[in-house]
Amino acid sequence: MSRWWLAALVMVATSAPAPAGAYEFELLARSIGQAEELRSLRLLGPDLTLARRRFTQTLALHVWDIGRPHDEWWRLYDPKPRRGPRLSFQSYVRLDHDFGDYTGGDLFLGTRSVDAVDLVPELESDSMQLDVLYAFLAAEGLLDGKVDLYAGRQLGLESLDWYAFDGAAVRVRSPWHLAGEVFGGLQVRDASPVGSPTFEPDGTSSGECQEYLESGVPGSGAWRPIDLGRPDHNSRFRNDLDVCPQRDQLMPTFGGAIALDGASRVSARLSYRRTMSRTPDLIGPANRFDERDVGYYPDEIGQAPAWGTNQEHVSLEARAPIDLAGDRVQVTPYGAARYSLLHALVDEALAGTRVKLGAHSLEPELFYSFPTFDGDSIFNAFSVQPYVDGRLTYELSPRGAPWTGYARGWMRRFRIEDPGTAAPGADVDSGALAGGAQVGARWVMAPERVARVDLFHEGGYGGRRTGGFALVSWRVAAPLLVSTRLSVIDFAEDLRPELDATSLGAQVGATYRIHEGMATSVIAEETSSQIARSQLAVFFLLDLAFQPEL
Amino acid sequence: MNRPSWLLSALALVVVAALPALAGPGAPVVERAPVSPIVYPAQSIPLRFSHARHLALRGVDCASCHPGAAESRSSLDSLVPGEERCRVCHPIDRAQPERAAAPGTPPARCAACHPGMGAGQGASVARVIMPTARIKFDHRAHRRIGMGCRECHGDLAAERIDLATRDQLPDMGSCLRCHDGRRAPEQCTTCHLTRGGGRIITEFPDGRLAPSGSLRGNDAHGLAFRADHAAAARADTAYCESCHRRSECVDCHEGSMKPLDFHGNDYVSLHAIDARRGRPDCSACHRLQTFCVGCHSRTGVAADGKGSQFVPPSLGGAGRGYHPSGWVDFAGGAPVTGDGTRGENHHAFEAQRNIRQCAACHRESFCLTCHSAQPSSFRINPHPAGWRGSRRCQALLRGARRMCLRCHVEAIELSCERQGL
Repeated sequence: MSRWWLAALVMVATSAPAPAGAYEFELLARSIGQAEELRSLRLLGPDLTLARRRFTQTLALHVWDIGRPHDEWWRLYDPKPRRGPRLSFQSYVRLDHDFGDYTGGDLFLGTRSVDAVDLVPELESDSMQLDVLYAFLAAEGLLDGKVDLYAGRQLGLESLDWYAFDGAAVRVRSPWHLAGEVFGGLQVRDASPVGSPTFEPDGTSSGECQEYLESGVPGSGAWRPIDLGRPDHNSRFRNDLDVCPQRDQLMPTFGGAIALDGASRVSARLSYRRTMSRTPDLIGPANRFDERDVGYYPDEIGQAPAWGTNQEHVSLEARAPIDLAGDRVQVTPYGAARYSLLHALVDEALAGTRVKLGAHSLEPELFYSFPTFDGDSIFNAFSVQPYVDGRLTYELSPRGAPWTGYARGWMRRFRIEDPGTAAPGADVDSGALAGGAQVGARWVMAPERVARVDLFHEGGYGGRRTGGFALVSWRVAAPLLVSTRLSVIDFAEDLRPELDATSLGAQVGATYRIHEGMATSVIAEETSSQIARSQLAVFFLLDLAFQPEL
Repeated sequence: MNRPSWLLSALALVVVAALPALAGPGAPVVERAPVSPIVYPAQSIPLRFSHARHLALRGVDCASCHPGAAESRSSLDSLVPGEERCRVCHPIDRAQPERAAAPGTPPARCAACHPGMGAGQGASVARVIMPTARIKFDHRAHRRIGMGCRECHGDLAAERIDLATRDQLPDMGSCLRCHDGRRAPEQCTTCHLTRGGGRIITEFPDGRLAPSGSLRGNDAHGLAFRADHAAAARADTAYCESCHRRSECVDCHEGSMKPLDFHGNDYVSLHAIDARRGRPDCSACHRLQTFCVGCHSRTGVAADGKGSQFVPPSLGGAGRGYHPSGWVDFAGGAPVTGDGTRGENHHAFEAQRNIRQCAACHRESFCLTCHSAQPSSFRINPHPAGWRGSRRCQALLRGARRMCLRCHVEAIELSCERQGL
């Protein structure tokens, strides 16, 4: 079934009228239109810009208390506690398509015109992309509130990680303020049915996939682009040429966690997660070549494993607000670290403390990152040094005052492996630094008028950027909110001297509330700089929410 | 980083650290924190009344005027005494607004409690506006476990409170002294108004309810929170879902709509600086090898051999090239390794600093053109010193052998033994 038909079927099915149960469901629909011009640097042909004409339709359906339509435990102002098992269903579907020539246009390969998506397979994700971002059934509060069950496509956000999987999860609470979690299923990836490519572990491409061709002498073969001959179809919405069997494999994932539960404001969680995939077999019919065809990877002597690990992490995180000096001072230390068993190193870590004294808050943070990728990505081999970040944020939020403010400073250090490899006289910084500061304030002039200003300067590794934003929003009438935003940014990239410019930008937007739960917004942005004299972008949003009445 | 930028950044850090001192002393510390104006909407109480004086009278306590409080089960209940309650002691007569009370008895004049109701000042009484508090509250349940009025509302007599306002209603901090998950439930929905599904209602006509930071510490939704909420969100997802739908996370982090406050102005020109630093973390919303590579390939920024004129002369192209001279040294179609040293613009240094910036433009096969042990490659070793024998080599070979096979085929190469090839 083509994506068009599948898209239509799902949208119709999920937008069918719901049974009349006034307080058991919520339906949110958003229609988003985006139009902008993107500079193309190919300089081929008459067009110097690529049009993006993107339309996105989202639909979220949340249904609660299935089977208990009259259990309005959550009724406003009714403090009756929530008891008994609760059955719910939550889903979020999105259809996204770019009508512009960015996705649907042509590219010239020599003198031949080719569908852009055939040369750049990544554009498939902008072409009739139908994603079920989540859709799961939840049974919570089973066994006297001790057990929660979830089944379907679910989002997971664990320490320093964000993923989705199709499967089941169970959470069990113990009387000792500890909860255990176990989950298992298939990781959502680009090849998953109606799966979003964003959840694919990063580091592998859908373009230029290669297979290993053996030669007569074991070990002397070579990787070559997969050639299945001319395709028997030609779609402008899909890549007709690239074949990536490894990215089409199912990705079983499983894991578990132990977490503090109901331990007041303290939170702590230790989790484990592993994702793996099978090694592809033969591509197409066996023995496509003169030599013995042993599959996608070199396997003359059994080198290729049957399975490979894509991700394997152990994560630990904790946070503990502490009230001191008779609650006048609040100190909240927090930290998280993730150990990649696949790479045998700590690849992400974060530690910080927020100190709050009255209206003042100060938050120093340290962040560490060692880039890691999907286990199938060769970028893992090129990642040799971590970078370390220090940040300090100050916030001032006087209660009752019409204004709030913040200031932030940060510094990040990048290292190289061996400065000794630099040529004599070469100015190579073994510990390159980037840093900057930002200050901002918001002023509520009147309930219907708000202004905000942000100023910043950044320098060092990567380049320089100095500028600011000023925003004013004004509720002209009860249903109409108008806002404008001006920005000035002077920037210079350190690798490309010609990327040195001052950019001026102006945004004007309006949101009109049509009815309860219905609003429409329009935003236009025009920017101008020495690099691009004029760039206009227009955004349109229709927001429809059908929610239980208050 | 040159010295002026270095110093400027260091100075910025110092200034930020010193700001609290520059801002002066902290907010005055009071026994009771100001209550949320969203939970307790603004009131208008044009009355003259002294709780302290009434409570000092013999036989008068809270229940004398608020008899329904002890059995109230909802904050919808009106517990503020009406005129009939005042009449118990005050000989009010609406027909005689200026009626003088006998000496030693409570005043009866309207103006005694309603300012502006004196002679010649008009005959209308300004309305008392006390909007319903936007919380669930069960007075009876609290009374039944032995709690007294003053534990939540304070000792109005000792504090010499005349007119009680929303400032005498309990703030969240005082609730949390008992609602800690042990003595009393700690779920947000215990007190906060919710929709179906248990999500807290945060949007109200007069503002938005948002965490102040008093509960979890780093959850305060200040000005910097939108751009830097990762630590708070990672620590307790369920807590975020008390107010936010999952679709809200997806709307931003799945990148279907460009957030103009985050990527405003000419971000196409500006983003390279962010990407090279990896700050903010592009991968929080974008997949490098899909979103970034796709756009860079389509717009010709990446030298992928697919029609781009940005193939630099050093790679045999006629284009200008994104990278500076000396990025890759080629001669006669092969990279120059010479004595093994590299110029300051050599791409190896950039790759080591942040390989993610490379992965945002180049597909894997591009790098393998040179960095592979395959005969067709230039066989330039990308591994760091001491790779063989390292735990990382062993772990990757054990779990990600397929990646190793992209460059190494022979059994002797597929080893982390120090004495290997």
